[in-house]
Amino acid sequence: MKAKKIFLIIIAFSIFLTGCLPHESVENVALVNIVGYDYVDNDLVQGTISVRHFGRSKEEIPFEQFLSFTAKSMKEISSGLESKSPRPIRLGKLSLALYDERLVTEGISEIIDVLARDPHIGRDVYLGIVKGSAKEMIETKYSENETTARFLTGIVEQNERNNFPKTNLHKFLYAYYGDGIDGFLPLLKLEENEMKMDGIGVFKEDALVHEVPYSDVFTYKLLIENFNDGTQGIEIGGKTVVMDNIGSKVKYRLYGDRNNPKFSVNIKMKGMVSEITDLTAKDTYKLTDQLEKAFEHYHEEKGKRMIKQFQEKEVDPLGLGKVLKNRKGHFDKEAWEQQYPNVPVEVNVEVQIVETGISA
Amino acid sequence: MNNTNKIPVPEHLLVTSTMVFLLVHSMQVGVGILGFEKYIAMDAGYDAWISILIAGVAIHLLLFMIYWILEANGGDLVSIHTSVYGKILGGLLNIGFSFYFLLLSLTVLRTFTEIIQVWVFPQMSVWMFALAYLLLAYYFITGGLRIVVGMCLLSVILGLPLLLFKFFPIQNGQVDNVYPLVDHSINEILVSAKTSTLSFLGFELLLVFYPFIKNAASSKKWAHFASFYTTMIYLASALVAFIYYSEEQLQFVTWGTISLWKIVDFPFMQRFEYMGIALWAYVVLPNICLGLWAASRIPKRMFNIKQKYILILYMVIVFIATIRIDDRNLIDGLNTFTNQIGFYFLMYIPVLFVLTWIMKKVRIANES
Amino acid sequence: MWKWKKGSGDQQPNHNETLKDLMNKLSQSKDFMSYELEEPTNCVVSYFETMIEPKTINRLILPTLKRNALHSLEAMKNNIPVEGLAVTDDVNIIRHRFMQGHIIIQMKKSDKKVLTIPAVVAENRDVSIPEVEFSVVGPKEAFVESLDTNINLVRKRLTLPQLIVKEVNIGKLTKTRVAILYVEGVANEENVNTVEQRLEDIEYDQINDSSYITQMIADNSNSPFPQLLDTERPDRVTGSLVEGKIAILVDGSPHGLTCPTTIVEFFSASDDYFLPWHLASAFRLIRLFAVIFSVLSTPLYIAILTYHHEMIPQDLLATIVSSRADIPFPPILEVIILELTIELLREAGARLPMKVGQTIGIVGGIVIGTAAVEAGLTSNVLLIIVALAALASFTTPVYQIGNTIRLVRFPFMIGAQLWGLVGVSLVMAFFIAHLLKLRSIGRPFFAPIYPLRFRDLKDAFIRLPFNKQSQRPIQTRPIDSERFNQKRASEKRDIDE
Repeated sequence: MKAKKIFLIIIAFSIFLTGCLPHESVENVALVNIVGYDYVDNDLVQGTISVRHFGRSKEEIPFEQFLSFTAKSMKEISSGLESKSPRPIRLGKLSLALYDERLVTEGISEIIDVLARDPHIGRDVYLGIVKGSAKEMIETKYSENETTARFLTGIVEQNERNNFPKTNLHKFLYAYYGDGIDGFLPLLKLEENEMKMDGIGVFKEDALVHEVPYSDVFTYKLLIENFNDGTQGIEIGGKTVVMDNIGSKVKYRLYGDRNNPKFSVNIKMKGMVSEITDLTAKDTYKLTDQLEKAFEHYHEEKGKRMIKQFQEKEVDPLGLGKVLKNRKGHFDKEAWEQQYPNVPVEVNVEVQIVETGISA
Repeated sequence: MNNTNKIPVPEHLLVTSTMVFLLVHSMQVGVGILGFEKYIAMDAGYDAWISILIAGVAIHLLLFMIYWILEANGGDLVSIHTSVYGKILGGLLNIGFSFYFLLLSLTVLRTFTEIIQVWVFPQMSVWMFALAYLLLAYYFITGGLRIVVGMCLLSVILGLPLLLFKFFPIQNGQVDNVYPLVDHSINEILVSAKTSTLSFLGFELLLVFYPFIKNAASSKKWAHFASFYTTMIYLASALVAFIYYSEEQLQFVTWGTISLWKIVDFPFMQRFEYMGIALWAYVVLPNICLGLWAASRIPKRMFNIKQKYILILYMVIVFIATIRIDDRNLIDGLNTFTNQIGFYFLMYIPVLFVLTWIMKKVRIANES
Repeated sequence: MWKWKKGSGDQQPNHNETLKDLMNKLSQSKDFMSYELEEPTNCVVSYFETMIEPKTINRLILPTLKRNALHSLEAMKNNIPVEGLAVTDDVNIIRHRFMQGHIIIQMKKSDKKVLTIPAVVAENRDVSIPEVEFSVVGPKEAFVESLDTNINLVRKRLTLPQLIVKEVNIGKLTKTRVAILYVEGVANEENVNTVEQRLEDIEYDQINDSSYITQMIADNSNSPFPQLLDTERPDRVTGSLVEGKIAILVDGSPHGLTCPTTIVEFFSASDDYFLPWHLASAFRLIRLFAVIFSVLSTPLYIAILTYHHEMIPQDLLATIVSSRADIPFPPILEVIILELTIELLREAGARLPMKVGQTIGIVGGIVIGTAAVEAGLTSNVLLIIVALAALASFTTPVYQIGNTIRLVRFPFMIGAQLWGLVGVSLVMAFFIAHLLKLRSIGRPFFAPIYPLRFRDLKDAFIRLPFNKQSQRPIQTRPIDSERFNQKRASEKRDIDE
């Protein structure tokens, strides 16, 4: 009995004395929220991070430190950045990763792999393509009382709630690894010290090949997912009518067989007309039908044109190949890639305007 | 029926027939469920859900056989083997089973330790964690089977809310992926079904527990119910993983379920996987305890030595093995090995069934 | 375990002692009185001045003896107007009674036969309001230090001929009266026997309070969890008796014990039965949450801040990190310092006189807390957590389990420091194992959870309405498990009938 007790005590002590893992308390690490990568030349990539320093009082203006390092591989960049930082760098709270356009055009498989492998990185990290320099975008001061990381992440988040389709690391990996679907990421742009969402970049494998301009983004989102937010204005007879989306649903239909597939993308949208410049209220009421038609026509045309472009560039962000694969089976990736540019795709949009505002 | 082999177990050590549900279920769900998606999808892709159902049916069949054998004999594994093969061959088989159960415990412990190393603490020293975990298991097992079953109950209760978190990945996934279409050949699906069966390993421990069950006859439905429940959990987990990951992506995800937890997001807590892994310690613990209990029970029945001593010996073996197996490849090898062995042991059950059946026939013929 | 083993020590004093030896021994005390009366009755009266009621001797005994010529103890027994007189020559009985405050009368000094007259002075506190288990609604009486009063309080509420009171004397020196109460036909005989057996087997020199008994007859005396429920409310004891439990009352202790008990019982207050069932259930759940919070909040703080930063949501991160920015200690030390401060205040508050104690509690809490935060020794987030955790540990209706919760936190902290959340999990698993193994008078302590008893869950985490509680808990294994006829209670009526 006594020997047993002594044994237990010795074990408890040895565990306690040697057991503590190397640890850093949360205030002693550099928590990185934003990271950017820029193309330098064929071999070299420049990585930039922003580290926030927390003061004791909350009112204090957030102070950020920017670190950059240029190296060949991701591992070298992280160790290089580590050497410049007074505290160990932790990527666990990463919320936004930016890549410059040139780098993305070359392919980012290595960087993606690092993100996918690290167990400490979440799956809801936003990725973005920067037109221009990612370093510059990170180092610009946008707001007096918010960190760059918070500010930029906020903009992406806000836009993806509205007109931009949802993107994050997981969704990108899903498409990146998956057959019959290609990934896309938002395009960001720095304009006169303001960050702007500029469109969508569509990937083939790990490289950027196509861009969807900002004006088409709403329609793009209609094609991609169900959502109940966002606004789009169109011109009818020289007058601008803006519609709030309050619920849109998209369904992909597949006709024909495996070798001769035919797709139809059916969109049902409910909307609220909130702004009608130069039209009197009475007209709105009568015009509802007309407006619905106009919106339907607008989105159908845009959708078709966009899909045509995708087919020309041989990218498939809608995941039509995946639809074919799921519904018909025995998916042959190569055959599909041959077929894809010529597959007929129809776009049907049904718009229902349910409200026209409270003033009749 | 011939119940001459009945092993007397004191009333206050028995577990009720309802608890058989826990015994079977918690032995079936272990670390495997955290990463089985990849392996079953390897051969059958998204069609692996059919494989899980096939495996589930197979398990029900095997369970039926186990109960038939046990009821015909009335005793446990040791008495069955002795009556079928005699003392020496039976004894060897018994020891084989004992080591197999020990192997199950070792695999679970080592794999769980690896999960913690990969996901949480890369620098954690394995021996210390293994030691702490084994001491904990020892504390449980010395309380007897009833205490271990209590832990099973709590692990099932704690495991339930974890299932609810599957809702988060569904929100983020493509439900279209599970479009019911069979894309793979029967062969592929069967291979995947074989892989799935391994997820259900552990119910054969019933062969050892049987004498401890109060109203053993009425426990049968609970065992089947448990197996059904496990099948449903595996099915749900697989479907959620298929919704969340694309078929090809799945091959890059080693621990599917843990990666799924990453997406769980509350206003007060993000990155649920850390919590999930910590809570999984409760799911793994009964697994190890039951395995070690059964493994050490067999020699006790055979040689009449104190179970405590065998338990300590076995724990030392598990402890040393856990330390020695120290890299990813070895651990992978261990898992593959255990699965192979497990499969043979499963295949052995029908053999035993047939032998018992023949023996019974012969005896009836002799008697009349 | 050693507690109820029959020891080799001789509890019965030496049998050869004569009455004379006894008297000689007693006469060493100053309050021992012994004098001879002569006319008309010739006898010797002895008693402890301090133990007896002067009225009894002055108004009842002496006048009777002076008025009548009584020449035998039997005659006295018939004439003295006091009840409970007895004639005996057993020295042990005489000693026992004498020490309890009886007057003894001998015919002659050398006589072996004596008359014992009970004349105990009743120096008792009045029955007052419960202090530890106060409740706003419901009865407001609490046990006092007198066993008889306490039994009276219970009997008043349970006027049943089946209510059995057994008595044993425990303590080699104190010979404390301990009463076992149970309802015959409801309480399980096996439980009663276990309790009796364990009480009789207690080997100790003194029993000053019921908590001595709790510790001595506990199934596992090394457990931090109390295995007998301690209450000062007669209504709670009555409730337990009716459920088939056994109550132990100790003379000199204002707390009764009930057993067998379960862990969930420690979180149920008497209020729960006085309030409508939904409210009661909600409050019970809040208490349960409070306990979980109290035990786990600081360990989780350590685990997450030390190892799992990723789990903190972005918005919370700024608050936590900026509050910790200049703290020189790692979270574990910070937590231990603050927890110890709180414990210090609690101990000081408990030891000081009530008025001062309250002041110390409030002033100490505010002043030390604020100063510690301002000096940058602790973060204010932690201060909030620790204060809330301390507050939460006070919500337990039974004082003893509150102490357990106070202590149990520390192993969790160590676990958290060792292996983060996994460490917390492992410590939790250890406590679960401990609770699973624990028994109260041979009945599982973790009961309605494991062994899972759906019937008992009706009054565990939530309390269902009384008409749903038609059965007594299985935990006590009652002989008669039906509280009332379920059929009559659940008769359903149609509309307008």
